[in-house]
Amino acid sequence: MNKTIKVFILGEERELPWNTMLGDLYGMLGFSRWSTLLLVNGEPRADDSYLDDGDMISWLRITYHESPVRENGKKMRYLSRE
Amino acid sequence: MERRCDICQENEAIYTDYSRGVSLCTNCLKSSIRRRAWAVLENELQEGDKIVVAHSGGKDSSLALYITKEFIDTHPDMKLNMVSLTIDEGTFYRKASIELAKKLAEKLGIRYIVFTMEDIHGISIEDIKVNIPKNWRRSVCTYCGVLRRQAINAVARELGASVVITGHNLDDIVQTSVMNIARGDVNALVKTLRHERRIGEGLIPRIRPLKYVYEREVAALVIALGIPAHLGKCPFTQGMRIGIRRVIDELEDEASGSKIRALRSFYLITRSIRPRVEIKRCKVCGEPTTADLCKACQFKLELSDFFGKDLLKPPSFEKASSEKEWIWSNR
Repeated sequence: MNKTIKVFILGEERELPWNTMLGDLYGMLGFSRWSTLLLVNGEPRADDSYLDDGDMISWLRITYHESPVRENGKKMRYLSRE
Repeated sequence: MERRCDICQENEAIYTDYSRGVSLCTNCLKSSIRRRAWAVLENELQEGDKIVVAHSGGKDSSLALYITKEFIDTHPDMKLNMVSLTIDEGTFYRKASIELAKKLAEKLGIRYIVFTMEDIHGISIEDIKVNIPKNWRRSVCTYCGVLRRQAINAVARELGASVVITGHNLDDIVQTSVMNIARGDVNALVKTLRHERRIGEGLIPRIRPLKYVYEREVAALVIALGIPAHLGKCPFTQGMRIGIRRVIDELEDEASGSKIRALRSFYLITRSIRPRVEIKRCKVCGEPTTADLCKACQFKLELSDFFGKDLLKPPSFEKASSEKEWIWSNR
């Protein structure tokens, strides 16, 4: 079994442990799950589902009232994708 | 790797419900949301109601429309009738959502009607944004909220509706309740939560079928079902709600189900409080208000200085009067 998988997060290839769940990405990306919904290949997926090799991850802002990124300067680059 | 639904064990799970500790497929998520929304509708709708759905074209009001339509179709004995209404505030952002609102209404076979803020109040939100000074103590959202709310109520009344359905979800209502508490405005808190049928002359009762549904659930279901809805963000958003939202979301992260428990607690706490509300008529426009001058007129008076002209005039409903017959007639 592969020890890692390769997924695409906002078009950027990332290597992740093989047992990464979608819900783990919220913490990794600094996103709040209450203002963002992460999509796998354009579709919603349960947070406790495992990611597969080649999955394309995108995000959707679900609230009008807040940036999807917590106050974390390192991740602010994602805002430029809007 | 496919994660099966915890309820039906058949389909792929698309949403994790942290408050119940289960992951659900599209069908089971829809059933769960519909159960909560229909319980509200069954409790608050009355036979023969003429319903106006305040439909901005965003995800929340689109799902409220979709679920209410299903309710009406499965309860023919209640003889309910509904129309979809959009108030166009005049922002470039609204144009895309109007197209989607129209598309959904057509798909569901519901009459759809658009009124512009300019038609009703003589000003658009874009105009307000341009004319108010930078660092002004009020945000554009404050003006937009008040003018839009009054427009929805007034248009619904002029159309002869008996209830207005809005897309407010659990997150919205808990945030508003906490904002009212933070401001020390218990009266506003009671008004946020209580929706008696007879609130006062000229005020159309509002029903919020998604009040026990998380905003995140709404987004997941709207995408999964492919309901036409605008998922963008309002370009003018600002205000106190942002900070309150963050605090409540962190609480929900710490203790799943906090939002729903908070809302239930607010209902219990306010149950014994009688709101000090005396509905009068605004001296300028005649719309229902608790003060001599309604909030919309107070704001128009305030904005007149910035616009350099008198904005204080009663709202216009010519279009509503002319569309009244057509909108409720059978197809």
